[in-house]
Amino acid sequence: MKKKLLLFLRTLNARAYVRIFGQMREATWVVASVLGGFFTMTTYIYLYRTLGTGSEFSGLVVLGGFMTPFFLNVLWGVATQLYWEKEMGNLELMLVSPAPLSAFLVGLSVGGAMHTMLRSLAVLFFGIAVFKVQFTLLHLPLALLVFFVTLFSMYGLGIVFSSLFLYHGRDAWRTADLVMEPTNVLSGSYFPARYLGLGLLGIAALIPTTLGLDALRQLLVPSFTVKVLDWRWELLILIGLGLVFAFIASWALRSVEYKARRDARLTLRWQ
Amino acid sequence: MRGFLASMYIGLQIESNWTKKWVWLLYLAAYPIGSFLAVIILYRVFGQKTGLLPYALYGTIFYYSLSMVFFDMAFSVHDDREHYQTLKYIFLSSTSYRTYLCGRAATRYLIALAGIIINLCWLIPVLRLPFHPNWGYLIAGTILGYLVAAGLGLAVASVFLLTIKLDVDVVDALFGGMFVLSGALFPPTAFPAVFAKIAEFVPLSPFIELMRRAISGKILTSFLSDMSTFQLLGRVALSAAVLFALGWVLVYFGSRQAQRKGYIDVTTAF
Repeated sequence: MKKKLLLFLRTLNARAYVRIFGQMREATWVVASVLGGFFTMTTYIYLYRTLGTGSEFSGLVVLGGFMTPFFLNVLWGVATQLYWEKEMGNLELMLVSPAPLSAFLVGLSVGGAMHTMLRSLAVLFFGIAVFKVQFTLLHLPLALLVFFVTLFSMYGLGIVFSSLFLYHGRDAWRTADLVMEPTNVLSGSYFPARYLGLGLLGIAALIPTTLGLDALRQLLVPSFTVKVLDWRWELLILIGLGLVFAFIASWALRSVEYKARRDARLTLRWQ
Repeated sequence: MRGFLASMYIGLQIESNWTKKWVWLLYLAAYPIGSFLAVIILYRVFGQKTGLLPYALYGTIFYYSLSMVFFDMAFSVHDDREHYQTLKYIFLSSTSYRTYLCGRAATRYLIALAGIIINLCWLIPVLRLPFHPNWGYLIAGTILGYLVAAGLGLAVASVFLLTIKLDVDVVDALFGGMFVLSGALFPPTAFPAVFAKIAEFVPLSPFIELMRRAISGKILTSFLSDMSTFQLLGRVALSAAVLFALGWVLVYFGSRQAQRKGYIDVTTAF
């Protein structure tokens, strides 16, 4: 048991290391992703100014801009990673090694979250500096708790999807491309999720970013009143979602890996 | 011409052969929704009184038609070199790489236009968008739009040919900046005066405004309102000619340089 745990942690550390330091190798990657996030944020802040909404909306957009890189990292850096490993020929090496596949994915998530954190903080910094957005820091420890629980839940969802991507090839890739923007919109990155209406909100609540962002806005933006639920309830739901996703992820990874081995799809490239 | 058509066919296969044809048609119709979903929600909730929904919706949709092409052209360099490892064979074939890229761009543009047309069929009646098309301007604008998009795409592709580590995030950032400035989502008059002036000279701005006027039959805001539709067409034609020529030349030099540096068949697994 101790050996297994040690192997899990070593694999996790190795994969996280590559993700954190590999992504720092090219300065253009960091600059481009920060600029991309900043431009999206700018677009929506000016849009709200055009629509004549209150200045508190700038704060909501800046927080959305802070969380969006995490969502993109979950989708493109975790969910699709096994597909890419397969395409690059690394997956077979990973599978014949004694290291558990789940440790690779948790390592990816931890590393991904850490390197995305730097980018997100840069977007947040520019948002605050350029648009003079103010947040209350009275509930900062609680906001941090909500933030980390949201990340746990989001990356859990990413690992669930990674097993689907392992089995399906380009069709899953295309699906990710298709759902990326609508999911980002539905999670309320650019506006309070409450405006979605009950029907859409029911679907959007399954995306951890939706409730996580809503809770963060309640805790950090003093004038934010259009909440979905009280942040305490949202925190509980996020913990529940995270646990459910972790359970499904572990089950899905095992069964999809088995199916992929059976159908000889683990080394099947360009499909 | 045969090379161009063959490249279009390859583009179509790459875009569509991952699934059944009917699923792909559904995908084609659903894909653009992500680009305008936020516009509909935000303008319906906060902007009903402003009357700017048609401006923003048409602007976003036509921006989408171009952005798909830039992104695909930049990504195709990476995809062909790293993923499918076929770039070297394309260079060895009798079709020039520029023709190949233009063929791929044409397919992507037509696919984006098909998605737009399908969605406009329901958006116009449901949202009661103004629809008084001037078919002449619309067709001319559509053709020039391809040249604008392909020109920018070629320019970006030339950069990607010369770099092996550049990520497509760079394209996202570049065109994210253009999206803000082009006035696709809101009139750039909301910007400070300097940026509002710059917005008039962003190559995409006149194209988007031309298409808005050509489809709605009216001038929707004061942005570029001092120009007649014919003048706008002239400006789009000028942008298209300059950008396409620039892109064509850049890919020519980029390809030669990439061959010299050995970047055509290099794989980095980045």
